[in-house]
Amino acid sequence: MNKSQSIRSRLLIWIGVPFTALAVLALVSSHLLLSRQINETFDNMLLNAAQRLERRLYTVNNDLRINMHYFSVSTLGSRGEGKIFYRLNTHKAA
Amino acid sequence: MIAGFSGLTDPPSYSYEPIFYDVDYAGNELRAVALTLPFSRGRAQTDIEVIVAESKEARYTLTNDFMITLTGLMVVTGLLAISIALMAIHWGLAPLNAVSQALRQRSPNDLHALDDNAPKEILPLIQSINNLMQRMRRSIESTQQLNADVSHQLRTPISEIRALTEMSLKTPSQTPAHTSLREIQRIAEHASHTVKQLLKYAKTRSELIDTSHLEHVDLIAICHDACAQTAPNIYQKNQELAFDQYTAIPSILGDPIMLRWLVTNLIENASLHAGGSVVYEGVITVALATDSDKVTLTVSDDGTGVDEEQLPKLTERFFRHNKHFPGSGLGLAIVEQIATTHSARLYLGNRPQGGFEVTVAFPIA
Repeated sequence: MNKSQSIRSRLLIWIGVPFTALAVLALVSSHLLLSRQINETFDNMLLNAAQRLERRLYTVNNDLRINMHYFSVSTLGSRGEGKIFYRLNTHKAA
Repeated sequence: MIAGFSGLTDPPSYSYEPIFYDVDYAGNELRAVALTLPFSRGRAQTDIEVIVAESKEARYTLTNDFMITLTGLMVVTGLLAISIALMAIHWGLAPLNAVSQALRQRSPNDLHALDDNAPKEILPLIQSINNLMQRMRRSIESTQQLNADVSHQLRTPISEIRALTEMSLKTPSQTPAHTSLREIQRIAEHASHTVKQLLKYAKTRSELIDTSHLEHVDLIAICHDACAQTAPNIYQKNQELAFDQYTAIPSILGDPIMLRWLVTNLIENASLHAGGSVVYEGVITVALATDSDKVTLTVSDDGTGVDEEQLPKLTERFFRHNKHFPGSGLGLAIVEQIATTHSARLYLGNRPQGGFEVTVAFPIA
């Protein structure tokens, strides 16, 4: 650092640069933590939806049926941009 | 398949535990869960697989919303922090600014101590400056004291020598001792003049004068005084003294005593040296004029002038251009010092019509 640099600019640099670095670090770590938490929450809701779908299965004379009336999947995406797909099929037991 | 979208990709593995995986379906990025459970259909055992997939948009939107809010908060906090830091720096550096302003505002020759009621970080700096100033003040005071002492202690014996030789010369006898006495008288007069000039030179050193103590002075009155003071000597030598002033002269900032020394020095200088090798018998003109932003004082004569190459040397101490007549060699050096103290410009030169001319241009107060 230049010896004749003003004290004001030294102080600004020594306060500004570390705090900016800290802020960037805080933003990056918040992003990572947030996306993990959000993914976990959405995964749980997805599982919940799958389990509720499963509970709507019933048999009539050995025939597998599903009661799709009033079935809904709630998501956190409040703006309705989310799309839901599902599939039900049977496998021979492993 | 029982129901749903047949195109949904199967999970990467098969398990009775829920399996989460990412899928692309119909141009959508999806997150899927596959739930497999055993199901008894009569005697046959079947597994039912439930796959539910949801587009990831909702997750991205939520994350982005959070991040935008967080970034906004951080920017606001950052701006606040910068403002607080700037204010803290400003208030923290205030004592330093106060010291530098105090140093900047004082006159260059003001050597009084700075206020040492300051934070302990800059106290050593202030104390060093104050010590330095005190030492300079003492050194200047001792120099001035020495000058005054030497001049005073020399003046008295020289005056006594002059008085004694004058008295001795009054006796009518014409012995060889008389010639020596005349020589002693001449030397004593020269010594007396030199001591006076030295004392003036020491007193007018511009770095010792506090320019903040200069006052508004009337140059006309000063020139009148100087003329009146020098006139008897001038007339005795058959010279004439003229004072020209055609316009009103505004006042200037100056020290009246020093300014009178300046004018008398210039007049005496002209009176002594204007004739070159012979005694000058002509007019010495003191003129005052005013320009847009300055007052010019000119002292001129109709004498022999000065060699052009010698002009720059005239203000040097103990430089004597005309060695035919006694002089201390300090007259123009004193004039230059006084001019510097008054922020005035000094011009020395020969007049086109013959003779020498000194012009001092003072800034108008």
